[in-house]
Amino acid sequence: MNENLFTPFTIPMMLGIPITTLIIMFPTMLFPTPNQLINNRMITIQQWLTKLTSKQLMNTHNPKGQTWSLMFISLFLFITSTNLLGMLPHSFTPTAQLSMNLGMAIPLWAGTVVMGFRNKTKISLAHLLPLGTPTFLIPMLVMIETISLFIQPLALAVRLTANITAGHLLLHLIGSATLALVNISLFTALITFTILTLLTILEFAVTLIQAYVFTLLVSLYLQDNT
Amino acid sequence: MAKPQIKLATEDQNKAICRAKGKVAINGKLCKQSTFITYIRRGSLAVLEARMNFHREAQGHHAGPSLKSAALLSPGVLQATRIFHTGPPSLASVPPLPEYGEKVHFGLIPEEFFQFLYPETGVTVTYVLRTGLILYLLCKEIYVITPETFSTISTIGLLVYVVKKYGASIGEFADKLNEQKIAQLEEAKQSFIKQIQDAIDLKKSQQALVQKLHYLFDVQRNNIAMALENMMRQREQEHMIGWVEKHEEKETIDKCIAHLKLLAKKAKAQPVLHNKTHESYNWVHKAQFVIPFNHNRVLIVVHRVMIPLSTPLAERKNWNASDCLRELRKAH
Repeated sequence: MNENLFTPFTIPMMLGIPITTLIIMFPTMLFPTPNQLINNRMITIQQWLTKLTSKQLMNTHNPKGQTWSLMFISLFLFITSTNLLGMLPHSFTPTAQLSMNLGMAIPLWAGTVVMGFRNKTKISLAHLLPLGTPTFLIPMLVMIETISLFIQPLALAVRLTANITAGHLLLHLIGSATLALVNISLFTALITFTILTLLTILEFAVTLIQAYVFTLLVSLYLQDNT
Repeated sequence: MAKPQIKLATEDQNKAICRAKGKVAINGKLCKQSTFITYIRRGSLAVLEARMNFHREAQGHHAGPSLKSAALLSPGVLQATRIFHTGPPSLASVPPLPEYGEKVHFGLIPEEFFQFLYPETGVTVTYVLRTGLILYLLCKEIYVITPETFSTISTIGLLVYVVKKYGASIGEFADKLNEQKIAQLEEAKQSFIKQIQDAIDLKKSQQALVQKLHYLFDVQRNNIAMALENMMRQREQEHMIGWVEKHEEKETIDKCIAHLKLLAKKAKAQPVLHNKTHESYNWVHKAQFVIPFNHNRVLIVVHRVMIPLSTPLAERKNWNASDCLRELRKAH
């Protein structure tokens, strides 16, 4: 069924048409709109989690930065739901594609940087030089800081892609190890299966953590530039 | 939890369907009808029956109603024709929805499926179907065992474990959140009601207080009267003492006192005559207090006070000591 190790990451096609868009739009169906004051349990829990996360994320920003709250919460919910749905067997994770993550990271990062340069040009430029550097190191350091600034979106995208992809690959590999060991020695296979279970737990944690990290870093870039 | 029973069409319903299909039974004979009903839903059977019954009762032998395209209108028609439901509700009416879902196998297949198969297969259908299906999929390699299988087992196993263990408590937590929200609003409402109730009680007590205010006025009035009386008595005494001290002739005083004693003895024997009382004392009208009355008038309450003569009889008639003695001898 799987020719090579990376077939789970190929774009799923239905009658030759890539259905990535449909898969990306699917998680929205899992977050229904609250219609009444007192909703059902699912919506109540979602509301509670959203409130908790948004408070945690946005209380360090000034009012100008808090205008980005909706953006950040949407981002967080999207990445979380997509990653968690990808944990189901035989499913496809859009956030494991680098193209998608770059598409998320670059506009957000660029938005914060451009906003910073437009509104507080001097301070933004001053961020390119850390405090207390010796004079003869200044040109070097400015270049290094500029490079690190431009690396930020790449780092964001690649971090998320690599974590999700690596996690899925590991699960697959250890599964294949278990499969191979089942015929040789059942006991070793059971040990490997235990490792697999633990890894699954880790994977679930990773999906949530990575979403949080992504959003947090973007919010950090925003704070620097607000 | 009563499961709603699915009933197949009864004889009455069959009749209704026949009727609806274009033929109306009038007095036992089937007659043609001009319009046909092509599609009848179960929900509208009650409507048809009810309307037909009503019409039959009301109009005797007239033909029943014709419903065109009942399927589109049936929910609205059901509500609109509710007033015609004169008899008890028929079995074809829509049953109420159950409150909780039924048991499901694998979280996908409801119990209803197996109940449906029960008459044909008996009680072993669940087990046979489960085992057989799995074996079939595996043997024919429709479902292939891959490395993914093991990750599937671990993932699904983990999910099932978490849901079974923590599902109920998470549900309770959600219910608690909702209850907290409602309690907050209820608290606000109750505090508001209490505030208003307290204000009402205060106003009522103030009103009651005003009703009883006249007692206070009476007491004050009496107090003032008593104070005035005391004042008058005090002034009387002081004046008498002053007068006696003014005319400090010891012999006359002693003589006067002795003769007064005699007089007193005499007075005890004889009653005091009215005019003498009149003469020896002054009646004075004193205004006790003033009450405003009718905006521009004033009510003066007057009290007749008996005060002793400002000057004793002796002084008034300018008697000296000998005159005193003379009067006393006369009385004697």
